[in-house]
Amino acid sequence: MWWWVKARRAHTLLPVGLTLLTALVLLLHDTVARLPSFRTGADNPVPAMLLVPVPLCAVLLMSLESRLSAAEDSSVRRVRARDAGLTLAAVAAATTVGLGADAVLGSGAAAPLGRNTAFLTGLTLCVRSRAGPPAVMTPVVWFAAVVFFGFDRTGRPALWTVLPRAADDPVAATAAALTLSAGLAVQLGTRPRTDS
Amino acid sequence: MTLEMRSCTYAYRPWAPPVLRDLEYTLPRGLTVLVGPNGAGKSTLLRLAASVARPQKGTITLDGTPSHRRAYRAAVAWLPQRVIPMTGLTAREQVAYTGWLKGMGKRAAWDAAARALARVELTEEAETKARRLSGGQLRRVGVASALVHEARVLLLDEPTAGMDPHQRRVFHDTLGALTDDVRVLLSTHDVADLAAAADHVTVLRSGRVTFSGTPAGFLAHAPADSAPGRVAEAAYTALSEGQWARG
Amino acid sequence: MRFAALVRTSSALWAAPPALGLVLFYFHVSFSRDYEFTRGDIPYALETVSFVLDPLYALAYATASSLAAWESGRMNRAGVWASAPARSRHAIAAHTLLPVLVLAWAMLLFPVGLGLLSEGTALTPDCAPLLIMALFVAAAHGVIGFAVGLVVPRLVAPPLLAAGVFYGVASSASSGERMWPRHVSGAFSTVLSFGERTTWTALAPQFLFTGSIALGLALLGVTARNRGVRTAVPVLSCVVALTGTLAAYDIAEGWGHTAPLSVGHARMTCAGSAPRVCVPVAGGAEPAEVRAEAEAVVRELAAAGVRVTLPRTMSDSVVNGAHPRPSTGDIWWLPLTAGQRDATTRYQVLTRAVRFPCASTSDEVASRSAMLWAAGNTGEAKRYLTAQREELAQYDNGDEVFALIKERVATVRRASTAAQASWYRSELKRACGDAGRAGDT
Repeated sequence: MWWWVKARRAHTLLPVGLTLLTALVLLLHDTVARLPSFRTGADNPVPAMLLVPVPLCAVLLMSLESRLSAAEDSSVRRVRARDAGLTLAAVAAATTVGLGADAVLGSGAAAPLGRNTAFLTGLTLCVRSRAGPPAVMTPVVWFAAVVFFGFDRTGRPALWTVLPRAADDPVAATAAALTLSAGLAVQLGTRPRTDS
Repeated sequence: MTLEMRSCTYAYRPWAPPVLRDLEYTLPRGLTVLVGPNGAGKSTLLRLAASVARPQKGTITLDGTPSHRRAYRAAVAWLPQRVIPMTGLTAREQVAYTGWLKGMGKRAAWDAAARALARVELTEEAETKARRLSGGQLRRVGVASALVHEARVLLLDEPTAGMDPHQRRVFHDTLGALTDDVRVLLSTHDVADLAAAADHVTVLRSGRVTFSGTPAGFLAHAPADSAPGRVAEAAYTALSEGQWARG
Repeated sequence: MRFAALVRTSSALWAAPPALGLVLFYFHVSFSRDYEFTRGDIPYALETVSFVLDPLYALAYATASSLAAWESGRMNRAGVWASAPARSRHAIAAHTLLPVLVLAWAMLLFPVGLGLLSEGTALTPDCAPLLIMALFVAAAHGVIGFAVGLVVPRLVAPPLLAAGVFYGVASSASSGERMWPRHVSGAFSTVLSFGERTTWTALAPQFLFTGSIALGLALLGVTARNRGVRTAVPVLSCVVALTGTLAAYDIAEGWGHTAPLSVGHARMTCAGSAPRVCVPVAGGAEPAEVRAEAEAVVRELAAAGVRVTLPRTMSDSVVNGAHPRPSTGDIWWLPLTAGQRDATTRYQVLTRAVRFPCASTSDEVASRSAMLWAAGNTGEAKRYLTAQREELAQYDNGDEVFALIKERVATVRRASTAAQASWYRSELKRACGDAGRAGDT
């Protein structure tokens, strides 16, 4: 098990990812910028917190891609289940950071961090099954879609955006849960594509 | 114990032509050397037999056990064409990890890794980070990984690539020391390997087996005027470029 | 490597359809819908270019940066640097970055071309500084991304750069009280009106900030032949990067919301003297007709007993863009092109001809009464009353004031011409809050 952890570099990469996540939460929790919308032609206020899961998703993917593919693809151990466990652990850690920051900072902006991380991670895993390592760009592409197309003229985010929705929005929470579940199912059911 | 491939067809992409088409193959006892021109499908055959990839059509079984079952995977070891050094793992850890993946317990895998590295004369580099090993050393780590869990079937893709002559000899001695009930399928471009105690030769061409038989039967396909010492090469050329034949 | 092979193996190839699709979508939806509300009276290429580019900078720069980092990671993984290449590192990097750069530049130039085409306006040399700046900064981001990708893992650098560059550049225009970020980020977020031009000085911080960082990083790729060079290169690299960024900050720190612009850039056609009337050629107005209308207004006011001296020059205020210049005794700035198009030239001249002896009036009844009287003598009473009805509707007592000024002017019209003229002059003084309401009827 420890060799699997070392092979994934989880003992180094995930702490770095979580440290970066925490630092970004502390730095950016109340940063809002007006970004252009292609849909409305106006600017909309977009919190920087929407981007905070990106480094953790990147680091998680980097960890998952660190594989001894020859041995793991013919393994008798449930390596993919362990990978799914690693994914869930990363999402759970992000959720803890978000809730903790929300309690300490009281800004409310950090509360949906876990939900957003779950959503983006699930999406990335789904894309990864088809595209391989370039799936690491999925969270950024989704963010761009939200910025350009996700807000109406009153600045309200559409249902599909998930990220900027209120922390207690049940639709966003359900979407995040479903997307993460789909990502994990794909992760368990398919062999990851590799560059080689 | 029999490893059988029945009507196996495999293409890397749905729109690409199959690399192996309706392949029928039974791995003989002992050491089988697999030869063929580049692109013949040797590595693909090994990947399928190692259960790393699944054929789009056909079946692969080991004593009737399908290739996707744990029992099949536990019994089969594979050395790929390229051994990837794992960041953060030492040579011994990488070998032990492979053993653990193949179902060995942690302690057993650790001890077996040391023994496997000793067999390929890499004990001194056991604690060296895998990324710092030379190409030849990495290859030997791969061979050790294939030997660590004492598989019943060894699938070795160009195992001696990058090894010096001494290491090649050590490698062949290692193979020779394997027990009789271990079946080895060794893919190589080095026809000199044929001379090193091969029990069988299989020639693959364009995804089909063009020859499967004894070394003597293989060498018999060399033209009569072949230079001594180049007979194996001549036979290889004749079989990989010429008519279909069975030995 | 042949260019076709270079493109085929580059990440720019698979990024091109969504990237270019997005800018095309923006053009067909946003530009088509929104530009008509921004577009000025006279077609102006730089206005179109600045409008089109405004929301695209962040996207193009983020694309350049992240794809460059991806390509750099690919070079690392393929072992290119370890294969002892005969070509210089810079040549290899430039070769690799070429498709990425072409894509980033296409994201900027393609919609600009479409915008100009849809407006029927040709590209002018005025547009060069802004376009060159955008292309330069995109290239600089490519260099920075490539350098980052050499050291940061290939699965981490691209998304972080994409997110960081996009958010940083896009948000620079809304940086609250700090204005300098918007002047150094590479995003020129002002839409330029007719007659306005950016200056190289105004764009210098944009070039300096990202350019110096890119140059500093590029210097690190210089092959060190001896120990001296090996020591000097990193020091020089830091000096270049720091000097450039600090210089950019220093230049831009004191600027307000908009970088300094140059106005009045238009080819003019003029007619007559005293007044010499000048209008921009591009607007299609006739200066001689404008002059005739202005002289007619003055004549009519003179007939009513009010002497007005026309200035030496009357020039179209449209060439000042969004930076109006105040009229003086020598030069009147009036919207002459729009005035001729809307048949409001006489009205515009009238608003200048009625001169209050103070900078701003305090008596709204007196000032409006004076204007209404003068408008009535020049045939512009109806237009004036329509404008005042709209303006006074905002006030609680607007109806009352409206009725009052009409009554006062109607009353004074019963007097002689001389008395009316005297009343008018006293209304002008009274509007400024001066004592003495002589002539009040």
